[in-house]
Amino acid sequence: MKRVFVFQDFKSQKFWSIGVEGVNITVNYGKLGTDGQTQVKTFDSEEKAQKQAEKLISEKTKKGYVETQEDTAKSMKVEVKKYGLTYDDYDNGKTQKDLLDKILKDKKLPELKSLVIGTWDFESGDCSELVQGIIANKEKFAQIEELFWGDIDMEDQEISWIEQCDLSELLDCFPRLKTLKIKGTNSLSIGKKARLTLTSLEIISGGMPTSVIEDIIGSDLPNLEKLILYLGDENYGWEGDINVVKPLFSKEKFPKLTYLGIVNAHEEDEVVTFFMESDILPQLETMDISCGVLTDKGGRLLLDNVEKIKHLKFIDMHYNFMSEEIQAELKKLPVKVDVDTDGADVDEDPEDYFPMITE
Amino acid sequence: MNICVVSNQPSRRTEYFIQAGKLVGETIRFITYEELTEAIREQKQLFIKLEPPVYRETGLLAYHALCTSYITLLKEIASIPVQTVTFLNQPEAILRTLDKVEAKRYLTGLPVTPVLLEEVSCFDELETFLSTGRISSLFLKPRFGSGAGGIMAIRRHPVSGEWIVYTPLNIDAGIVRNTKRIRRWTDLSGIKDLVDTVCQCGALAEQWIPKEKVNNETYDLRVVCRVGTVEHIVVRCSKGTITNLHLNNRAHSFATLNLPEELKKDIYRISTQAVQQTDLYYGGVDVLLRKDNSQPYIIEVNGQGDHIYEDIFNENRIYKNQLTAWVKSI
Repeated sequence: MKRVFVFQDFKSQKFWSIGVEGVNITVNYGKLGTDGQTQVKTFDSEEKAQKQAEKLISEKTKKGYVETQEDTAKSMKVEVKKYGLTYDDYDNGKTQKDLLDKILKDKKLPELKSLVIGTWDFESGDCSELVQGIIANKEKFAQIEELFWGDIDMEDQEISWIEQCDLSELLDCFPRLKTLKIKGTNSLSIGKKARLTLTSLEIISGGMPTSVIEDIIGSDLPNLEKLILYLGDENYGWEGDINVVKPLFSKEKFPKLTYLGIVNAHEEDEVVTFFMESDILPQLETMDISCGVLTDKGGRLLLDNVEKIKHLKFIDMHYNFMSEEIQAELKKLPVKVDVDTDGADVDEDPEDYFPMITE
Repeated sequence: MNICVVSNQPSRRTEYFIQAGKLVGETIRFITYEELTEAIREQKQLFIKLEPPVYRETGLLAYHALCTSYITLLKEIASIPVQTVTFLNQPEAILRTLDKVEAKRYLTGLPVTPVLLEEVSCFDELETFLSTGRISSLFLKPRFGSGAGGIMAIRRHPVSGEWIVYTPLNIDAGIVRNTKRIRRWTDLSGIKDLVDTVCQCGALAEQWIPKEKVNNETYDLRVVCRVGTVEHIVVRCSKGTITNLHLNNRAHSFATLNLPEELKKDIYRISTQAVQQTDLYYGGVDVLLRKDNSQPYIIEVNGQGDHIYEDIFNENRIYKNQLTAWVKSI
């Protein structure tokens, strides 16, 4: 029987299908909306083919693929598109106005559910012209449900050099917005507003200003299920007082939150303390304390509070400065954990312990 | 056949080349550069592969002095009238690729990463160049030698004038040293010391062309070519922008990139052409694919760039093919 799976996020929309006939496995994969590529593999026995198919399906579902009907997959449209200035555009003197024109003239715009905005300026200018342009044409963006604002990688610009602006009015242009991801926090404001449709918010920064955290605390986000904030380093905008994030650990504030990530922080051990002391922990499924300076102190705190965390489905601790002994103990918890050090080196001088993104 | 592989001391390069010889039925000897010079003067009949000397030196200036002495040595070898020695790669061709400015002159007609300044004398000159031009990022590289030693990926904020530099260089007790780890520098006085030291070695500035990514990592390609043929391609990945394998970055397989056939053909074409235009028999061509449009650019050609760990530790195919083809041709 043929089984069909799809994967959609800001970067890709793919399908993958698998069928087992006797000793043959046929796999068809590619971008949604295309026929994709087909591969056939033959095994020694039907049993081996079946076992391999199950293994492949398990791998795909772990990666976030979701099973669907073949007809549904075939009718799925590519609903996400990224717009940004390229290096060629920059060389040719293109500006935010040209970028806005490109977006507005795109015939696919009315169909888009996900909008990704990449580089708007190669000379560290802010995004206000683009923001104002979208606000002036807000009726064209009313269908957008997912927004990634600032999908700019390090090859184009340092995160700490991405100049944002006040996005609060821009966000009002997306009345159906469910998922919001923002990279870069210089001059960023999202306002203190009610965003009743928002279920996922992620802000990536090398140094998160307190004002952005205060915006989140001051907003009404009753349906938020996932929140990830990258705190970063004092040299790049983080103001150094970890207590500013404490009000985020509140079930009253976020009654539907199941994923909380306070990541990329020097103070990751203190973040663990906040989790342990909070009233939101029992409702969470995922605790994300990755990418920061999580040491044995934080790891030990988790181990000493097994009762409080055993209901969790996942604790993400990748990129950490914990010893191998503590990592080994954490792996034995009755919770799925990721303790991959991902290049962070516990043997460094603790003075040289830094979060993963510190600029 | 009297085939010899030459370096200042045995190394993995020489060891695995000798091992490849055994596998294809050729006996290969290791000799030093001094022994080679002597043998050439004595008009011995030899078939020679020149490998770079092994240096343990990490101090940038001291390393530069060693590179300079190697270049002088190669020039001496190249100047001896030779009738009895056949080189795999001629010393003149290797010399050409050890000078990054000179090498690019031989690559006319091919897409290369543009040289912005053929010579940078000091930090102040570079700062003026960046602040007066519309340039916020570039690579500063030692002009002579190969590998990523001394390389600096430089960014200067066009408004604030703030600098950010990624480099394997570090300052240890006042000495600028190459390390195997990329560091990020923001302290201007440290950056100034680093830039000035690289400039003392003779430095050029190249355009920073954003590279394509795979699995969220930046990559470029090391394309190992024999005249007209691509022998092997390594995808060199890194979380940062400096991807050179000598810096212990991870390698991936070319097939996993799933590049379009036309693009692959273009990469093969420019790489083999680059080897031909620099008069090499064998060479390693570093190619980046530009982010957004995947246009390939040659970063540099390495006349001694056929040493690929993932190959020698597995099939040792590059050296075996190299020997088989070379022996057949002579």
